[in-house]
Amino acid sequence: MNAARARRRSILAKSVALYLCFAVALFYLLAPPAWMVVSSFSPDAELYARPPHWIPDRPTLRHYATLLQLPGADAVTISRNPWLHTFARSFFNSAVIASASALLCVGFGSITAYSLSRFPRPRTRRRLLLALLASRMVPVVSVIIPIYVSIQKAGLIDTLPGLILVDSGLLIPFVIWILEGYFRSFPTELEESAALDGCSPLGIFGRIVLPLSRNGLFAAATFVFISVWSDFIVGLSLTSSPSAEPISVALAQALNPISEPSWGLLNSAGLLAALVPAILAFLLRGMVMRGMLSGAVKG
Amino acid sequence: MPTLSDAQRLSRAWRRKNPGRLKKPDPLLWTLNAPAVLLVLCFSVLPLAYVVYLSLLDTPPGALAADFAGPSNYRFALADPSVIRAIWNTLYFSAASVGISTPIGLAIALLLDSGIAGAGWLVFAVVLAWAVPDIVNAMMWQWIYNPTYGALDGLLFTVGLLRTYTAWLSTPVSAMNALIFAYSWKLVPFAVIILYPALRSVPHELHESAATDGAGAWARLRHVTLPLIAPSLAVAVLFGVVWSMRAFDIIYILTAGGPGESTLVLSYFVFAQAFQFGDLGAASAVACILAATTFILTSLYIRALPSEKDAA
Repeated sequence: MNAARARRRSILAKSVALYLCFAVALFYLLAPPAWMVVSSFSPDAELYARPPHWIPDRPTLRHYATLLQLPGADAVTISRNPWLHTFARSFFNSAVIASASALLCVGFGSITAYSLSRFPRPRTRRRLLLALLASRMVPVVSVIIPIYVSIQKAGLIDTLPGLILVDSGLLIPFVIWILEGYFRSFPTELEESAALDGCSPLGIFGRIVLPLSRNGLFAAATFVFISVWSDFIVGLSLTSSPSAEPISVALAQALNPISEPSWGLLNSAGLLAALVPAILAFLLRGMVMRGMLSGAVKG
Repeated sequence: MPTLSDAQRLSRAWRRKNPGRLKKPDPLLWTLNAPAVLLVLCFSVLPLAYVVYLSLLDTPPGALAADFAGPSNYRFALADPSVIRAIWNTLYFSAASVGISTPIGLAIALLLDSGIAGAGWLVFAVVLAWAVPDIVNAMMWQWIYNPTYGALDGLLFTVGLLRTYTAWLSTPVSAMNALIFAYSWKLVPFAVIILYPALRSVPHELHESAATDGAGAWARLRHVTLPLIAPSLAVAVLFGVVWSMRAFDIIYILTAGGPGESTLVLSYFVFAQAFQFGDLGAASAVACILAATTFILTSLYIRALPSEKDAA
């Protein structure tokens, strides 16, 4: 009787402890972005309050209106934050650079990944793949000087094609690494029978392998898109004007204005910048949790 | 012992019947492989070679034409107290970031694996933290650490842990630790992503038999789970170390290496030396040191990766 009660109590204690940990973990991960959301909807009077207003009394859309220069925008804030005029442009730049890099990387990377996955010598293949991964795990900052010099010589500084080229070049090794494993896990029976029917290797790739690996290609493309969208150092080193600046560089400049930054504006801008990768990642959360969108993480 | 599948046997027979059919390189296939190979060469292989070459040149600041100087850049770099400081800071930053994010990531992975009701929320939180761009992460923490209106000061003050508002990023020790705490937040989801699949592959029967033998939750974690996921734990730690060597955005935004040189790390040193001071020789030498270090760590990481990939 007593033993059963004690056991029930210990189970209860255990689940209480478990839920306590659960709450702490959730708070740790969600509180910082939640504070960004709250701040982006707080009017200035409540934003600059001590102690902070954890929940604003009068939530406002004014920061978003100012950011996007819609009706209701704050003219004084706009005049103090010249970066606002080029914010939309940098958003567009990032979308173009990230999409083009995703297309380039997956378009060219898939063929090479497939060739590698059907490479006849496993040892050589493994060495090639590991060299590929090792060369790209080196911090980007270590190779940014040579890349800067060559992009400058090519006349591509401060241009979208220059950024697309560099971002694709830096990410294609990861794409080859992701897709090679994907293609190798593919059963070869279909390809063998297609080969017996006289299909060329390229025909096999185009007609059989590609259509069947839509998921893998999509995962690789999303990985590139999110990585390029989040890139900062390439954009910072290779651009010098709003014409090619990606969103990360625009945000960094917004953080260094002449006067004290307008935090309501910054939080709303940061949220918009994070929204694109967050939505993509949430739609593909199964792939994210299996490490399929993390490049080198894949085991 | 790998056994020969029907398909393999079939393909061998086919190859015997059609000698040279598969060996003959398809020119079209070669052409299609060229762009990816060129991209890898131009942006992964050649820049590394070029940065080694640059590090051996005597480059006056601002100029690009230079004489061969041998290892003198390395000698100067390693005699520069800023570089030594940056090396120690990098070690501390990486070790502490991984030391914080790996246990938290393991705890979250364990929670997810426990099948707790509401695990979907935790998945949402992990995916969100994973997706937040580094630069937004940096901005988020700069606002949280704000010395006048920051949420951290506000929280600690309200709870009563802090008497006066503190400027966390303005004193050397707290700046480094605040930086590490902010960066760890971004590293945690990577640890979860590596450890969670490993936990899921631990057979359930092992837990049950250990539990019937009277092992409590803690004993099961220590003696059943941890030994089984040790390889993945090694992968998570090494990945975290290599990845935190790349940390740049957050330092650029939050401290720019300061106050003084208290948060100067190698990646930031290379960038500042090259693009702000135009000293390509010193920057390249330090870039090479950084690259060599990550290269060694990456080879350990690769060795730790599960090799089932090569079962074929």
